[in-house]
Amino acid sequence: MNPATILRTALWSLGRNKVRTGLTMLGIIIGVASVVGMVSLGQGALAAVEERIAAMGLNVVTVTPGSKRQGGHHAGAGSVTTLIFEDVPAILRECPSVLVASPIVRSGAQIVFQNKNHSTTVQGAAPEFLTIQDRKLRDGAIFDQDQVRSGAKVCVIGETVLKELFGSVNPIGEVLRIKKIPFLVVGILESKGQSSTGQDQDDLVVAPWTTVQRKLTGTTYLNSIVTSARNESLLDSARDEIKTVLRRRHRIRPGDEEDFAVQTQTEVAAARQETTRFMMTLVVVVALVALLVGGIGVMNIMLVTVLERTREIGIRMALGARPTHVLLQFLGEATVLTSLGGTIGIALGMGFSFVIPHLVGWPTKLTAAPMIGSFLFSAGVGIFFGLYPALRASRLDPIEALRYE
Amino acid sequence: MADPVVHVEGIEKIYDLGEVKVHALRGVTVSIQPGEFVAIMGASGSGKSTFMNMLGCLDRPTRGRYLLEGKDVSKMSRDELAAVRNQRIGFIFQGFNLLHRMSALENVELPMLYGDVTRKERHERAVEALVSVGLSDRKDHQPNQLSGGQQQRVAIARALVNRPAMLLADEPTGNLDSRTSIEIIDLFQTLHREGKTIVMVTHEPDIAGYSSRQIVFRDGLVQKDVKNQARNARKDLEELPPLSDD
Repeated sequence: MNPATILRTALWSLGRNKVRTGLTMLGIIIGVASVVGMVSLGQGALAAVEERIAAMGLNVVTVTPGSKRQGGHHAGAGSVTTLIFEDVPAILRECPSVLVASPIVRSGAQIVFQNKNHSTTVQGAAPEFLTIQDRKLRDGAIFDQDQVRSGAKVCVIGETVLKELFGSVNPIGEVLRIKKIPFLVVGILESKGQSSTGQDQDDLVVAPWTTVQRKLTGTTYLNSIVTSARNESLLDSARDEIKTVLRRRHRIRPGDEEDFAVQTQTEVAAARQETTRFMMTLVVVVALVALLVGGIGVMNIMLVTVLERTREIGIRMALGARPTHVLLQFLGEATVLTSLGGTIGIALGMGFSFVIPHLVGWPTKLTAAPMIGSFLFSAGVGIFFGLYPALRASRLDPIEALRYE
Repeated sequence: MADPVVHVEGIEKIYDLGEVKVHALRGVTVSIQPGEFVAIMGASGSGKSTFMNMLGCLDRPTRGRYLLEGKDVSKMSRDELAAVRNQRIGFIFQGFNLLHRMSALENVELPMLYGDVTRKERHERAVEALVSVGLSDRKDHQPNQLSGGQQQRVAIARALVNRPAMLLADEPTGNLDSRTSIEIIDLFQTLHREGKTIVMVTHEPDIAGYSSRQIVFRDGLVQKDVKNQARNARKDLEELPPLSDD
């Protein structure tokens, strides 16, 4: 019996009960489709993270108010009010590796222009944020240091805000209202698309941080400080210098926990990639479990098949099939079943990874490894779970089998 | 004198059912020469089925020797027995035992899948075998599209296709009406005239009457072993009234 004969025999017997074959394959199909689909989602997310490390800005080092331990529990980041504006000039003065820095104050706000309104994020910053966050102006100009000092009510807007509020109107020189306070639009930011966490980076308004503090949040602390190191190789020293300065300024004794956190761009990226990888591994493990469950279904059906076809096995043995032939026949059948299921599953998974970006906008990336891997795995599932039923078939006594009704 | 096709010598078969031991064969000695058409008869429980299973190499004797074409098959392994069944024995069953959802041609090709026959030769030999049983126009039909007699012809073609040393038929007419039975027996007689060795189990004396030798079993022993003046099936068919329906 050569492989071609085994294949033909397997297709013949699988074709006899198409509904059962289809239902049995379903477990494998779903398992393989999930593996291929989920890995493509994960790879897509990873690729997007990598793509946007650079887009995050130029050698960014971010300072956030730290999770200060208070009686054993962590207060959430941002709830701590430890960063103040005076930290920014101190960093610029004392950290040689830091090129520029900008305070960041954030506020969610309703903004109104004429009869349209839109809910967005208002970011208070210094003009340097353009360099640090790697943004450019499409039109108009950024506010200047004087306007920051005086707390001028001016702003630049992102692409999404432009579309939502102004439509075809040229917004420069127009006045929009943020929490009922009029702001003059002086510039439009170039579009930057989604962030690595899926946020729309164009859905924002940027105003001088002083104005945001005084008119919108009414606070005196900062949400974060963003800085740029002079070059990539200085990222780590910039982080260490900032830590030293802030520990001294915040009077933190050696050994005590900091009331702020400093993260470099690479650290942020690595953390995000790790999260993505972890999620992907988790989902793939679940998919593999589904595949194993599918394999048990295959074994179940193969056992039923062997019982039902006892007479056929008897006939074949009488005609000269050796135990090995019978073993190969049923093993081949199980393997063809799961490989076919695997192939359909791969096709479905590919379809999924093509459709998802259009449907929900998540990036996907197809690679060969999960497809080859899950195909081999499903074929392996067939061999593994088909072995026991096939062995049982091959050990039947021809006389008993022929007598079976 | 040529080697007998079958030479069994004092074979015994004991089934161990735990508490009781069943002595199905109690020392049977039989020789069958090439070209014989033997009918094996006996009541149920006489040991004829056990004897058939032994002849067909489906089972091994507990004691005694079985030489098939001079080769001792009583000590062979399962694999060796399977090869002997495949190459030297052609089985014909009462219930035809064709595989469903498979054309007549594919059914006839089946035994050759377990031997070293190329695909092309398999096809040629299967067609040839179907022609020899008069079914050349039915080769693409599936068993459920064929009458009982036609199904049994396909089974005979399947038994012939590997050119076995003997045909072993177990109640081949048991599921057929009397006219079709005689048609099948006519085919056996034709094969017999061509020199084929045929061993047929039957409990119908009428059917046994068409063979050239009758062996009667009783209580695990050969009770009677006689030459027989065979009736001519072809002649009997001509004397039957013609069929009115299909």
